[in-house]
Amino acid sequence: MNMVDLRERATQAATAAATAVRIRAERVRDTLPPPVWRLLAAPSLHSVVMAAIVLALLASWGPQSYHGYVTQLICVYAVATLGLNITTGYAGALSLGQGAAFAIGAYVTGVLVSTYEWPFWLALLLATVAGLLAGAATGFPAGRLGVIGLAMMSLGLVLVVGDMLIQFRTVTGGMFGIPSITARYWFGQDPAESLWVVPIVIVVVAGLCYWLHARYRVSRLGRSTVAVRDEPIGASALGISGYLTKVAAFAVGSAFAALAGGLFSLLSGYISPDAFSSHLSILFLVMVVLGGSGSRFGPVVGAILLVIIPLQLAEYPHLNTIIYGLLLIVLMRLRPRGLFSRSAAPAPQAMRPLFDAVAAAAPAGSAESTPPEPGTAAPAGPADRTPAEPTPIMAASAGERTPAENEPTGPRPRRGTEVLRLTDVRRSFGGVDALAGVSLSLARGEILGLIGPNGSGKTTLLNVVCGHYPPTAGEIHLGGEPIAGRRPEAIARLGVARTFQTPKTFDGMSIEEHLALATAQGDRDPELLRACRAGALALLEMGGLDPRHPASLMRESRVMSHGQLRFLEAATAISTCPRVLLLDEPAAGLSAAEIEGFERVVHDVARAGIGVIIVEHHLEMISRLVDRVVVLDLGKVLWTGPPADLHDAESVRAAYMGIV
Amino acid sequence: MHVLQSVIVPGLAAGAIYGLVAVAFATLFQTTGVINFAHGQLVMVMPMSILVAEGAGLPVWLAYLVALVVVLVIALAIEWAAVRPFMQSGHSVSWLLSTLGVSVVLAEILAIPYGGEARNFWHGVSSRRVEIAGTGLAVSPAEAAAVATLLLVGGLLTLFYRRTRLGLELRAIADDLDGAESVGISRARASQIAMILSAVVAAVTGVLVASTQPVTPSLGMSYTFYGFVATAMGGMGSISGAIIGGLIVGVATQAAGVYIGGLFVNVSVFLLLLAVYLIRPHGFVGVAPVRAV
Repeated sequence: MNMVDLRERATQAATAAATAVRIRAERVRDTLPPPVWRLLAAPSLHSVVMAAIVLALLASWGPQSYHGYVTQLICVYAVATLGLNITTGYAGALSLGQGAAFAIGAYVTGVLVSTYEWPFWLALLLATVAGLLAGAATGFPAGRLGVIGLAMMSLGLVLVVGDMLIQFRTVTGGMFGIPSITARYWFGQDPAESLWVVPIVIVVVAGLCYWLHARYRVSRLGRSTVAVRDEPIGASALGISGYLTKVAAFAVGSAFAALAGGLFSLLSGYISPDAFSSHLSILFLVMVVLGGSGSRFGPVVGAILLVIIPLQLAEYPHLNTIIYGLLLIVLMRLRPRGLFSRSAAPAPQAMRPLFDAVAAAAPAGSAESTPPEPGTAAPAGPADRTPAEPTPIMAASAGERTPAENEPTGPRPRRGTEVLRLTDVRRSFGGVDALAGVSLSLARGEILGLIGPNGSGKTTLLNVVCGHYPPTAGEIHLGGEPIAGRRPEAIARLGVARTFQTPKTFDGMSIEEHLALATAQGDRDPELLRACRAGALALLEMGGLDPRHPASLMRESRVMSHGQLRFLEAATAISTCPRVLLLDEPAAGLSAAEIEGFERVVHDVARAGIGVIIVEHHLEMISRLVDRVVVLDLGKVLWTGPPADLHDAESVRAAYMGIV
Repeated sequence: MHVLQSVIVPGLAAGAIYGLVAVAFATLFQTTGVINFAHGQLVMVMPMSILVAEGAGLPVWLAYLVALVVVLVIALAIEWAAVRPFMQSGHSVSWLLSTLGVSVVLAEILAIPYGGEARNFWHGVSSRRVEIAGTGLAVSPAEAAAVATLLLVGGLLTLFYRRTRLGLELRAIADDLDGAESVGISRARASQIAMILSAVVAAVTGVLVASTQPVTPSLGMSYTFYGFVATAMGGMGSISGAIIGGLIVGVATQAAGVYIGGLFVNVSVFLLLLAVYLIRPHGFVGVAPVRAV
């Protein structure tokens, strides 16, 4: 009991302290104009500053001094740790094999430089390529596996590499290793005389790697990688395929490790298998986890701490290892996300098209796409500094509602062209027919309400259309193209977007990153694009997500409420500018005002030409919003008709409302 | 006959050990959803503790008893610190790292008594081979005991899970943690019982390991790995799968060691794991989960 109390108190204290620091940092940041703190947060600036500091330290201690050696060792380990952060932090693929790639790099460099007298830069380059290939080779089969499978594959790799270093002793020198690894500039030349060659190479490479690692995170690939880590199904609904992101992360992470290994062999001048035990892999892992996996600074801090602390404890031989083992256990209990727990990255470019769309619509006088403007421009000011205050947000959504009331929702022109057709679609799970032959069609600009009792197959229908479950039988055509049996990513890229019953947003990503993930596919009608973007922006504003304030856009979605996530998910889905939009119980848990705002956006994007299927139990919303209702019961279409006639249909009442 | 003697017999004996590790994985995994990465080390704790206790002057039977208590205490500590907090949470990274941390700590503590050097263990089952009349095959009691123990443990656990109320409770927890708790099954107790079961299997495994080879603390990690490959072959949480997987891994490693070379044992296990993942990612007995959206 006591222990439990103590633990809870410790957890609370740690969390409270971290929150306090973060809030203070955010306050400082908020006093600066956005361009300034965007610049201060630029990874290129960090690399240059850090490299300069390290070089200054090296100059004052001398490159050959003990402190100089430790500093360089930290840089070398930091490179491997940054690589592991790509694999484990960004992709969530726990690698116990970073030491294997490190060893491969060290030996490739050592053998080429020492035995074949290659120039060091070419050897380092080859080591990196070797690491990349080794990582891809493990990643290709392992990319399909879960966390555990990947961890074991990589652990196996460590054991195998260790054995092979001894087996091929004619190349690797067996247990004796490779002596006299020196840096030379060109084939067969004498080794460079300057003591500064290796230190400068190490520092420059470390700086470059930091920059690359940060760039990887904000690249399209890196962002997809993190999305797949946080919510693979949600990512597939945005057209992101998971497999390649994992393989790429594994390969790039290994390449970093191999490069670090190469630097290590240049730094120590001698390598032997003892230096690359499975402990090394675990050490890298602890560095990442301690620093904060997925964060930008974490790996560097982890490397610094876990090189310096063990050196301080060097006189107690076993304590070192025991401490980092314990550290792992304690961290997982108290602070599983490490010292630096922020994993969201900036994506400032993501919001521009949204604002541009609204700005472009304004002079045209189209009132529908601009209503957020007058409502929120004023309250957004005071909301800036105190995002936690509920009042301005309420005001915003209240202001939102006014134009909706003033303006009757005009009739939507039915375009008529069919965009989605289901023909006798069946899906069974074991012996249960969740869908027992459903046929329906959806036109451009049409809003179709899908209702039915629980278990009638509504969500399964959406899942089958999206490709999460391939249909057991039947045909599905999207704009005339058959899509049944295709992968969810492919279907999403063809223009099917959706929301889920519980929002599948990406915990470790910011609002702007969500929108950056959802870029429109193909060449869409500009008017449609504009409507979608305006709709997405309106949804964000309604959800109190304050799209005009950069600091609020950078919040991670894990700290948001359920309602906010719902709006964020819908905004993300709509901003992909789909041909077909599937909404799974969007009104659940929303207030009446929020539902009304939501309806307006759906109405607007449908009028611009998107076909919408909406699954909902909220019958008033259905009757206000949709053009046509389809009632499902026991996997079959029970009734189809306009919402006004719904209450009169006897069969529907029997099945759905339980009254005859 | 030569193949039988040099590959199959020792292979099955070694495989029985891997199978026991895999059975222990399955026992804990079935209830808690956690694979204990420190299990290999836990296996080595038993013979090491016997050696230390016996070195301190205890009679052998008492040394056995003390060692068993040590194993159980350590197991319960692991359960409290690294297993229960992540029970059925679905966050495999958390328990993977925390049990990995335990494994690092245990390996280091095991390296303290004899400086990590290998020690001979005289208190186990005899490893002298005896020829079985009429077959020309020589089998040691230790080898026979390993296979027999594997089958016995597997059979007993299967009966336990199918026939006893406690066994059913442990499986109910695995299916639905909240549901099981709401009908009065304690999650803490279930996870402790599962851990004790796997620790007892570890203790038995430890004695069998030490009977056939010198006690080396660093063996733990390899046993974890081989045991895991056996688990992967059989399918997570399946006891019969663990037995079959273990025996296959054992024979494969022995064949690789005899025909290619001792340094290719890990390679063969690695390739086996790769093959399993490419051909049957959910094991030969396991079933692919229905994808939930």
